[in-house]
Amino acid sequence: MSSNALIRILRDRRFLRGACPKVILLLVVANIAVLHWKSSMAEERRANLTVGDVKALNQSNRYDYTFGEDLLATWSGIPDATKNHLVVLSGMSQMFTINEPQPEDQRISEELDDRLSPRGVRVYGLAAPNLCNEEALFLLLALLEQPQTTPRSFIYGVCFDKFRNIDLRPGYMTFLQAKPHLVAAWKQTAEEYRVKYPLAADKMLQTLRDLHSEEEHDRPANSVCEKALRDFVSTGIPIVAERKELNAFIQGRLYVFRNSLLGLKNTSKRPIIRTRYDMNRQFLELIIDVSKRAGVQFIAYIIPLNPLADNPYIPREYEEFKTWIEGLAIARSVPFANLENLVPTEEWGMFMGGPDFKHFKGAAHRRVASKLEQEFGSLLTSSANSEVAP
Amino acid sequence: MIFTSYTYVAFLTAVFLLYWSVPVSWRKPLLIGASYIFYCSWRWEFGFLLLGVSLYNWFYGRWVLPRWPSLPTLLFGVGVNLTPLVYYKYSGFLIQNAAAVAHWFGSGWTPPAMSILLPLGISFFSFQGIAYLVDVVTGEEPLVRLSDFLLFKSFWPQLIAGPIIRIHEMRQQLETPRQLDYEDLSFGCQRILFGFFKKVVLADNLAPIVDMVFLSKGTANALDASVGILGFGMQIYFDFSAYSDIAIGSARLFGYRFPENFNWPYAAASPQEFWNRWHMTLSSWIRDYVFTPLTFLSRNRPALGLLWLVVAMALCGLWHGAQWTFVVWGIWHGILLAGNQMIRQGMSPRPAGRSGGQFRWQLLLAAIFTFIVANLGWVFFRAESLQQSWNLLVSIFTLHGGIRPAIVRENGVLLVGAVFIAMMAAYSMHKTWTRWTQQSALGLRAWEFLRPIVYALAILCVIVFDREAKTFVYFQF
Repeated sequence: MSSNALIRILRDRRFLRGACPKVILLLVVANIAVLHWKSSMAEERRANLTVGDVKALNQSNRYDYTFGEDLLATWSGIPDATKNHLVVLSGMSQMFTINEPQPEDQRISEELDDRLSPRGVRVYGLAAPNLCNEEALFLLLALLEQPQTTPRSFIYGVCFDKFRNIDLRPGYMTFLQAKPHLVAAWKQTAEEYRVKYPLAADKMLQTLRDLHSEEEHDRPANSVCEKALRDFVSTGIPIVAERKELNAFIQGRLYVFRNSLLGLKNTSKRPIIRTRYDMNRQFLELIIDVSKRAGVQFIAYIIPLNPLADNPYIPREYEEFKTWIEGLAIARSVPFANLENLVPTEEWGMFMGGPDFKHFKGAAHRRVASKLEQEFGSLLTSSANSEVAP
Repeated sequence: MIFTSYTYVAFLTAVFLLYWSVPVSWRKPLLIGASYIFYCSWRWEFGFLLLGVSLYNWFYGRWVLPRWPSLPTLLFGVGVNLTPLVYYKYSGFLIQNAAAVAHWFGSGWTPPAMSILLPLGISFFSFQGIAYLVDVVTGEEPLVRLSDFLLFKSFWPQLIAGPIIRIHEMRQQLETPRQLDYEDLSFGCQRILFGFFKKVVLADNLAPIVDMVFLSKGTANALDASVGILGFGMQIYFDFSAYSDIAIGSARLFGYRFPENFNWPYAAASPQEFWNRWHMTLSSWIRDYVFTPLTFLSRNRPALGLLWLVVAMALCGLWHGAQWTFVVWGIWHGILLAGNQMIRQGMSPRPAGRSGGQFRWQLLLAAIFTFIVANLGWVFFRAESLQQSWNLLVSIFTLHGGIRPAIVRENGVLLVGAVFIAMMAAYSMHKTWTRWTQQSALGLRAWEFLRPIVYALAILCVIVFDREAKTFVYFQF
């Protein structure tokens, strides 16, 4: 009698002719479609993240080839700072995106590494799409955790529109969660600078609360079980396996739909978002403070922009930003360069049918590396630096 | 174990198959065991608390109250139920406020730092225990079998965040073997799927935008505050009603029928109607076990009725969290309900001489008003402090910053707006759609055709928009 209920339902005509078999059929079709469209979805995701083919890039250990998605996996690739002078180049997608890539092309960090490694300096790229200043601070604090990863110099390509972004991406949160010492350093920094940089410090503490609230409701045993289950389901159901790609695919379509609906372009003017802007300014100042205290030479430059392409900045706001950062560099003795007009028009690529205002070709990666070497080479290769000594 | 996790789906499937495969006599112990596994998967230590409270209530209801059905006996029983709730949930709040009062009188006493972890669902199972004892005293037969009572208290779909089930709703279901038919299975799966969709696709995607506004230490512009408040109003509705959907659906898979907890609350045309549609099991609990006894005690002074309404709602607010913001939220709703009560006393359902069209416009205006005041109330509910609530309200009413955001990105504004329009559109259409599919052969055929597509799309959305099992808002209460 006991299992009769289940058998009875399975034999019920309403069950057999109802929605259930049709839903299963539709899901099977959807899975086949996902398998069929898998490569184009991955392509869409790469386009959204402005990253190249990750699998093809895996050979390089000179930058975080997961672009912030899995920092734990690439962290061990950082050259040993106790054996070489380590320079870390950080910033947004411009650091690793190569428009119209050629086989011999390399990213800025690789170019710089080639140029400086004969002089005993290794350069490593730690960049991610839309990297914000909170994330740059996170990367710096993470590097300072071990002598092996403590850089001599931290070069940061500052991008005005990234001052709209906040929060640590999931890949960085996972990294933070796995490193209790880093959590402690993060908390200590936040508390120490609470008066001087209240917006940034409060945001850091909020990040910690987010981290802990996830832990509180999700015990390690649960998350291990959940992850194992998801991995298991992923092996048999393509939609689950490709859910991130599908998500990016849909987000991409929604982005295009939004733009067509509201008549927007990727270069439509976007005013600053005041609180976020102020918070990012504080984060940048905090990075300078933390670097100085740790004896790390902090170097900043304004990233090149495409002179051919309109950009989404309000000219007055962008001018104010440049004035502010130049003043900050002078006031805090930060080596600084404005590379805004460095890259000539022919070295820029296309994006979504128009000139890409932020991502350039391989030649420009070489050009930026060369300029960085020219501007800061002596700082990067000098064996001692009294200005930043702790 | 979060309802919208893969672990829960696996757990539910396994218990479902096992439950309907074992002999009838094994089913109840199986459900009790599964419920404790569910609860202990978070913190096993608190399983003992749940068991202790359950044994106490069963014993007290079975052996003590029937013999000594007096008010002191009842109050003692209620007090014991409240003790863990007060300790775990309110001790920090009480001590902090005592310190503030002491400070006011010049004392330099600093309260000790307290870090007490709140057991999941304690507010719900405490209220359930209190209701059980009160019901027994007022004539409800106590549950005789311990297994019935353990299942009543611990049945996992309602354990963490309701619906708050009362004994008269469960007695017959507990005492007779459950059956499962196609309708139960279909209904259960459908409700679970809708719950997943509301939580994973809607609530979890609204949450980051809301958090930006309420967790930012910067000054919010009017647009940020409006987006944050409207976004939170929708987030908590989708989040909590999703939990209720999954709870009701899960219970139905085992043959148990739970009361509904939500009924399009944002379509309410008055604050009173809002509370008849929002968290219905809590509002009826507050009405029956707080408001009614208070008004009964002061039955000779009817003017106090409105005051008790405010008091009852303030307690309802305090139940949600040990912060003054929640109390103010409760008082806000208490005042709205009291005002509603006063207006209603002088009104007939449809004023004479008004046409149906005019009445509909009035209803629409009343619904808009109710929507606005209910959402304004969420400011207190979600804000970190009363100061923040005030700042956000000031931003809105002074139109601070015009139409430019200072915190939320433009896409956040668009998303909140789009979800709001979709929710309103869904409400506008659902009655017509339901009537059409029920009364017309064409409508029925259309629904038969569309249903699998809707379900499949919902499943796909849940998989694709999944943010890896985010906890429910009501888990904190």
